[in-house]
Amino acid sequence: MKILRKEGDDIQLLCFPEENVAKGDYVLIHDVSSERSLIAQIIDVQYANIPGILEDLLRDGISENAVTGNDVDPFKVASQIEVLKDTRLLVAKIRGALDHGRLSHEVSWLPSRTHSQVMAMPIGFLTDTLGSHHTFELGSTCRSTIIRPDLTALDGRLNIVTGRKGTGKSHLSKLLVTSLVNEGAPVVVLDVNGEYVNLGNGSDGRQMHAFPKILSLIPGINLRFNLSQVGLGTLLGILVHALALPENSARVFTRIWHELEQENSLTMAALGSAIVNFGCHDSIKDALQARFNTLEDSGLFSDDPRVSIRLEEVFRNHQSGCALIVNMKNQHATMRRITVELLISKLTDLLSTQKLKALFLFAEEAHLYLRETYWDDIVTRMRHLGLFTTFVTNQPDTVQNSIYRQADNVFLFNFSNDHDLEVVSKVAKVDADTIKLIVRDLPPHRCLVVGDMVGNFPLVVNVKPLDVQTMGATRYFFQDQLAAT
Amino acid sequence: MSRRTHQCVSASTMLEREPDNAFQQTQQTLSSFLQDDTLGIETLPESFVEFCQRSIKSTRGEFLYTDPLLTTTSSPRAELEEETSSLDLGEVDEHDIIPLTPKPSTKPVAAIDTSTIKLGELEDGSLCAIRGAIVLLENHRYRYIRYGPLVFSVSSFPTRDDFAQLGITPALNELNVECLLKRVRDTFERWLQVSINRTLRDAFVLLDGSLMAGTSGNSSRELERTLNAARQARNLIIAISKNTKLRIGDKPITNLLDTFKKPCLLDIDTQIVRQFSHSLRFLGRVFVGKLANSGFPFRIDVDRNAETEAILDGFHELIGTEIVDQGYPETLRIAHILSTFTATDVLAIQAFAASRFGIQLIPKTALRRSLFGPFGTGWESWH
Repeated sequence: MKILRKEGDDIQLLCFPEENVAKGDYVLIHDVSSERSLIAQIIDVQYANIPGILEDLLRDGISENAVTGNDVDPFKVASQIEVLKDTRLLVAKIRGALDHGRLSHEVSWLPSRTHSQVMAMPIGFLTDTLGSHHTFELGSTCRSTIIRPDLTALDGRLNIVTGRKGTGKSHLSKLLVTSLVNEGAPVVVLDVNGEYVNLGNGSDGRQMHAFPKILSLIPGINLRFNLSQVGLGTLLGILVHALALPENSARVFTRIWHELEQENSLTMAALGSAIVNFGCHDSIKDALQARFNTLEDSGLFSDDPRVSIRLEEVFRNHQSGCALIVNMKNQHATMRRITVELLISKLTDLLSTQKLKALFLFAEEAHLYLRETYWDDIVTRMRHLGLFTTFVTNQPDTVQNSIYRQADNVFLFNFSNDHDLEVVSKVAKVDADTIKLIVRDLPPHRCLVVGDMVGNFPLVVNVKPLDVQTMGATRYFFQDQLAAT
Repeated sequence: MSRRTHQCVSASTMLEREPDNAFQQTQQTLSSFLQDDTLGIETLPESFVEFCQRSIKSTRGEFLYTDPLLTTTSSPRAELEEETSSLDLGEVDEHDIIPLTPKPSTKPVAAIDTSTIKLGELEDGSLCAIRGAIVLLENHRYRYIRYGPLVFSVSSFPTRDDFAQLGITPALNELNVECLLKRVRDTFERWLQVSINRTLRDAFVLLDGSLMAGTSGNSSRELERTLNAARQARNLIIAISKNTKLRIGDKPITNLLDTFKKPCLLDIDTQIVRQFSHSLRFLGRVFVGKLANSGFPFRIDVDRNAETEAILDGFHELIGTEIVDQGYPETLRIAHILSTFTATDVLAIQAFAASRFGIQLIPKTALRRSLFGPFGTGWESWH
């Protein structure tokens, strides 16, 4: 490989056919005279613009199939011509430098064109520095180098997993969830499709060692709260934000709540009869009654302390890590919103009172249940409380731009749509060109990892296969035919 | 364009010294090429390959000053028309125009073209390359055989011995790179022409250029040999010039057919020969011809020994057999395309010379650009 051009952090390299490099690979540009090297990542592979190539291709193509013949080439010059025709132009981004063997961010110098050696860089050079405390196998590169990042790169961080449908987002999320649980971390998964519930089972149905740590919670069945656990603030939040209770009615509800609290009778039964008997305008009473019925029908509230969940106890009983899978499959949008409002409020409460040290939250398709005001809250307040969120979505424009800009780790699967690519290119950790050029060509189960998890050296990774019942695989009508092909 | 490459070279003998053996072998080769669908093993005269190898071996380790502005400048064919160019020709009488009517035939059509290029300057001479192609139309199918690129060097101070191997004995005034490059090309081209004429029978053989030769030297002998070979095989040689410097007043002779749209011929042989016979040998009969409706007119030379009737029949059959889009035969067009050097070829050959013979490539700086940078007024400052 030879240096052709450098402009800013863009560098173009000429690559000859026998040199085996691909998009996402790293190259080391070693300036022999200064004993320094630039580390660059290939983000696009193009044909080199060789003088006369148009004429040459026209000559080949103009009579293709119409003229056949033989070449008598005693000097074998034709092979040189073939080499030239297949010479590639590598478009690369400079990611860092090596100064006398040490990683450096000083990349403002210009390597010599004549005295530089350009070579493929073993990826281990970069991944060896990723950490060693809580490593897990994320997958491998195209050159079969195993990538073992440290889970501490998710700790205290905001993460996004996004990509087109069927590219392997959920698969990666499950890998992250199980890896966190295996390392003793508490995890909550907001599971809209019920595809995480069998994470404890192997693909053949047998129970894995993580089985006892995977707790499936179904709202209204085994995810229920009593009113005193919930508190006025949370319930008002649900009424106003999830059930659109008007302000006047909310004020009346507050009065009712306080009265019941003073009487020490915060139960659903007492709340129901208090609404019926409270002296207020009929319209307010009707509004409160309707909302109460919805809450009651949801099954999320119970006066029986034996069936209401105590999250702090659940986490306390699983000190070696657990994943609470909140299965919201087949649930109405309102029910989902109530569930999430309740859950996040409760978790925030546990974190702020130090009953829970920290928590990893995985939110699949969060736009389906997360209200507007929560986005910023998750990035700022909750993060400081110890709630570290990973958003998983196939609709990147449903995640707010501020989330992309502040994300610490981004796992990007294939997108081919320009609009989607434009949205995800707002990620601050890497330039837009890298995302647009690499992500567009990613095959399924291969992702571009950007951020702290890969030491801010973007890596293309084949995600490790999981031996669990993933449940998220697309179900086909013509399954038999597909299997046969 | 599907093709196979053969690197083997037969042990044929020197082209000039033992012509019969060399041609016999080439003839066999071409026969297999022309007759077999699978094509045979192609050969080059060993003398040619040895000449190239010997000449380039002497350049090992030398610097080759390459011209960064060199793009697709295959050396143009030098024509023998420079001495006098203006003809004294009266108005064209419509009765002199011979209309051409396409007449289908099964006769094969073969075309030959070659090209040379200077790849750069050596300390003492130039590094050059040559390539040639034969294209054959037979049974509505085009096939080709392409030779080269053959790389060789020409010294700035050549001796006659340098070229003896090719049977070239240059005159003293021809001992310069340009003349010798032309002689090498002529020799190579004549070898292709004779080879094809010894292989095909009852065919049209199309050449690029004219059938003129100087009054002295080998060139007319070589051309006569080609024509003799063609006559023996009852082939009709037709040479078509893309560029002619023959003019009437200030206009090219091809303008004579400007007002005629349909395929036609105009015989201008008598006037041409009368005016130039003192300095040139016209081995062909000279026409201006338009071979397609609204096509371009060209100067066309046909073997002088051929009878008029045979010539005219030949033209009727040629335009009824061959594609003559825009008035130029397809076989000749393909032969030209195949033999021309592109800039990619030049780069590849330079790289080949560097890797195989240890020649060190040094870009030749454009003087004006070096001196004046963006203020140079020459065209090279724009590149």
